[in-house]
Amino acid sequence: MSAPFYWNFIKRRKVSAPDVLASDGRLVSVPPPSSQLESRDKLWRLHSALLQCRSLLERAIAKEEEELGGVKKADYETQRKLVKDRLSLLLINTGELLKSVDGAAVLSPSVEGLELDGPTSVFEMKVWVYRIFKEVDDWTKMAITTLQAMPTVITKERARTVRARATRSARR
Amino acid sequence: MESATLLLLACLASAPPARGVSHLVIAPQSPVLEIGTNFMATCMIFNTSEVTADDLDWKLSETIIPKEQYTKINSSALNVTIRITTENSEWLFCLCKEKPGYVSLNKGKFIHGISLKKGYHPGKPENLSCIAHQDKTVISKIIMCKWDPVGRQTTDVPTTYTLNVKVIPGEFKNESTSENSTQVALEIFPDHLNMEIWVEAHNILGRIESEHLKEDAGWFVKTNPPSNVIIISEESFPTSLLINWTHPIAEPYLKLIYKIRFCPQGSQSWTDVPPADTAKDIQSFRLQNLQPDTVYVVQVSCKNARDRHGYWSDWSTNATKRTPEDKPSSKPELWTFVSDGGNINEQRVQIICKDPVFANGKINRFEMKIQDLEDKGKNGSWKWESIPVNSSSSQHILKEIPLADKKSIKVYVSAFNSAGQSPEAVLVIPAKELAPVEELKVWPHEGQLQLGWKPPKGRPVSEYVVEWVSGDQRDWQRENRNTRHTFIKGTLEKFVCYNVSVYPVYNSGYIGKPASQEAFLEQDVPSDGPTITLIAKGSNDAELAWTEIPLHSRRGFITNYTIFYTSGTETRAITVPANVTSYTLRSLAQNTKYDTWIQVSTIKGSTKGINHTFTTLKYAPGEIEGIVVGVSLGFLFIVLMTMLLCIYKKDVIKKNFWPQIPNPGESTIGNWSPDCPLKAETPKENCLSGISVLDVDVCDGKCVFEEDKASLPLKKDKYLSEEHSSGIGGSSCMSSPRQSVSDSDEGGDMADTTASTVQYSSVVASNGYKGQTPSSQPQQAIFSRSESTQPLLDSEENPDMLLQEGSRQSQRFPRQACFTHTARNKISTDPADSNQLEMEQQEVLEPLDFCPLEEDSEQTTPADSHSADWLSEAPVSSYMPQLGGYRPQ
Repeated sequence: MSAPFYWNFIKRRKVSAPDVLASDGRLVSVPPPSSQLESRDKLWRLHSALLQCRSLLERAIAKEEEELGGVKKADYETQRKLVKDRLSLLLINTGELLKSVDGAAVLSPSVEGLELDGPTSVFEMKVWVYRIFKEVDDWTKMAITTLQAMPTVITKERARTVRARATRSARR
Repeated sequence: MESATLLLLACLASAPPARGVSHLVIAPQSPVLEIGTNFMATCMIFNTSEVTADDLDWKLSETIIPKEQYTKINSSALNVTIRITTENSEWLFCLCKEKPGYVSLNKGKFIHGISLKKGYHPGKPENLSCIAHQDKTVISKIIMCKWDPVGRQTTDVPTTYTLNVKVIPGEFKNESTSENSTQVALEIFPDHLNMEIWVEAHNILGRIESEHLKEDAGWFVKTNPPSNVIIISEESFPTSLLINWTHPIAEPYLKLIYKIRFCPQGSQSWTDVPPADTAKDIQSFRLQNLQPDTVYVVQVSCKNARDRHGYWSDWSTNATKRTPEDKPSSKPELWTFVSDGGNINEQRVQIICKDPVFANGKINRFEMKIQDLEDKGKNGSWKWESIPVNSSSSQHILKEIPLADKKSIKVYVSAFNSAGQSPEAVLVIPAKELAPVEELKVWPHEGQLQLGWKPPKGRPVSEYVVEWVSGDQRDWQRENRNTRHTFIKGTLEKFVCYNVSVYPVYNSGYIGKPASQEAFLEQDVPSDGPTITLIAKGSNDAELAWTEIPLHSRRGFITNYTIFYTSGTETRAITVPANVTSYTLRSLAQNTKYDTWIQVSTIKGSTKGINHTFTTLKYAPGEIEGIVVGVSLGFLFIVLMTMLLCIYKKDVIKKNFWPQIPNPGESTIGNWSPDCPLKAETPKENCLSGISVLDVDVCDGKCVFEEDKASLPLKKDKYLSEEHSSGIGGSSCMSSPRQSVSDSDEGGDMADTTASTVQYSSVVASNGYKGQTPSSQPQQAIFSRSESTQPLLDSEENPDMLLQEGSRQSQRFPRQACFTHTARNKISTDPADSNQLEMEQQEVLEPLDFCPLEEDSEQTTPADSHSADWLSEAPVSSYMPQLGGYRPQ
């Protein structure tokens, strides 16, 4: 089953099974966004969310393999792998950013509160996978927004740090 | 290194030697050496006291190493230091010198060798470059890299290259190869991430890394060319085209810049749009300053927008579009040709026109007006004439004007297309000739016909027209006023003669007189040889003519003709200039077959024509006529001479050929009486020699004569009747009447002259001459005579006996002889009568021939069986006795 077909299928089911989607809650749980947060915290929040996304995605992939292993779905698999790999790259980069900003150790993925057990029926599984992809989509877009806002801040912060160090050394 | 060697030596020394194992050992074992370095090896002696280090030698391959390179460590160890210079692997031996005893008996135990493998330290790879192509909608995860290897390597020590690709931060992959290019497949292409790529060269002697390429992943990207390149043409912008395309890859992956190039269709000369105009993230561009009504081909390429990042994509596939039409922006190409209508009176000036260079659309008509410069007052010549263009030909004949009424005319022409009118072209055909250009030269050069000229003196020239004509092909081109040298820009064919002319065009379009020259773009041998025609031939010469080779067959300027002719043994050649088309071959042999052919030559070679064969005459013309005339004249001369001879010697001839024969009718014998004495006369006529006369018994003759005389009147009648019958036949018949006559006439004579006639002659019909021997059977002769058609004499008609018969037969000649005799007597006595008789005799006997008679007489003479004496002499002198026979008479 190709991915577009899959999405269309989900959309059609949306109408026929509103009860499933009605119980919609975010699969990824992170602290609520706030304009008060520092860029470091925003980055941390993003990174944490992305980590959860990847965990969910890996779980979904495993589940799909388990349930739909025999079905030929090369394009979908390729695309799915691409998403997962890109997500991994994003995680590496946000992790590197966190390290450079904070110097803190890389966060281990927090899987608390995640619906890792997953659905029991195939249809539920597909809805669940759809929700995961939706989370991935949301959080990657969030990553774009966050990261695009980030460099100037980091540059300024770094510049400020460098200037402070220079001042200190000058004083000495 | 040294400690390791010592350790090895210690180990080796401590190891108990196996039975049969060498007493010498070299360290190190199996070394790999770098070429250009020094190598030290140690040879040790163990488990023997037979030899010491002083007894050892080092040998490299087959050469003993000099002692200077040895270093003695102790009595049982010897070092050697050698420099590694060559690439090939060698063996280094440590061996003991020749020594009697144990050593010489166990040579194998006192030698040890090691193989020296050699190589170079790997060189630092240079110019590493990597590329990642677009795969479908994303960049491929395969990174392909190549580099330039540096340094040398040997087969013993090969260099391996390892390509290392590291995503920062992220995965690390590498790939090894012995080649100088390879590829690495990552999990995913790391868009927007940094990558570090380097290649490491390594072998057993060492390793070295290339420079590290540490760049953004976009540095290595080569995308697909822009897709869906579409060109839009807008009617209101005939010199502009709008190009649209789509990005080959989604913008989140890469931001792109573009470059565009275009050219008219058919041309491969691309025009690049200035990069500054297109090096932007754009999806459309407007090309300007294009030619209207021209098909353009456009290609677009793209690259990562980041400076120096990425590679330009391949060019997109051709997108083509025709620009809209615009009104012609240049004048039509107006020119005139003189068309030859066959003769000078039919020559016409053709006003001919090509589309403007910048027609900017399809020319659908020309408008022309012709102004008579000598007749400005009339308005009729000022009217515009519209000439629609129907043909697809590049040249349009607008009008033909007879050359006979050639005046100074001025021609104005404008070209029209659907968008409008072109500027006017003006040309003046002047009545009087204006000065031509000078020193025109035309020559082929590098596949072109080059022209050079000098401007005419006097009036300034506004432009030049170069015209070239070959058969039906004619074309022209314009050159500006400063041109002194150009080449023909039209398509010229090889091996075709072009008549190239340069016309000066003076101000206001006045055409000057042309300067012309013939030229070939390239010459070749003629395609056909000339065909020979034989104009005339004699016994020693022949005039040949040949037709000029058609222009299309010449394929070059004819330099000469060579006439070959041969009679089979020797071939001769005569070369004549190119303008000669006939030649007379001289000194030919009479009545001889000649083969001749003509070879036509250009500078490129010769072509042989068709053979022509002719045979020279046996006689020269007029020779036969001369001979005939000469012979005729000679003959005529002979005839005339003969005639003259006949006229002047008539009497002599007459006497010779027509002897006088007395006319028996007038013979006095009729009145003969025994009293009349007979006079013997010598016979005058030779012919009469044929008559045999014999003296016979007078009595017999007399008797006979008596009989004949008595029957004379009767005989005369008979004679007449005989004459009638004498016409029966040939010679035999002719003799018979004669005989008959003589029989009848002579009868009387015989009576006197021969008293008794003896048969002395008879006509032998069958034997003739052949039987000149006397006939033993007189009966046969008699029989023959009796078969004669001649009327018989009375006496013959009643033969009494054979003897009598024979006697009668024999009487004829004696009678004739007598008659002749008598006649002669008569002539002597009475010439008048004799003549009369002769005349009569001639009348009657004219057809007669005496010769048969002579023959008869000769035949009959031997037949005389009774005169044995005579017969004995007869074969020798049958005549003489006969002639002699007269004389006594």
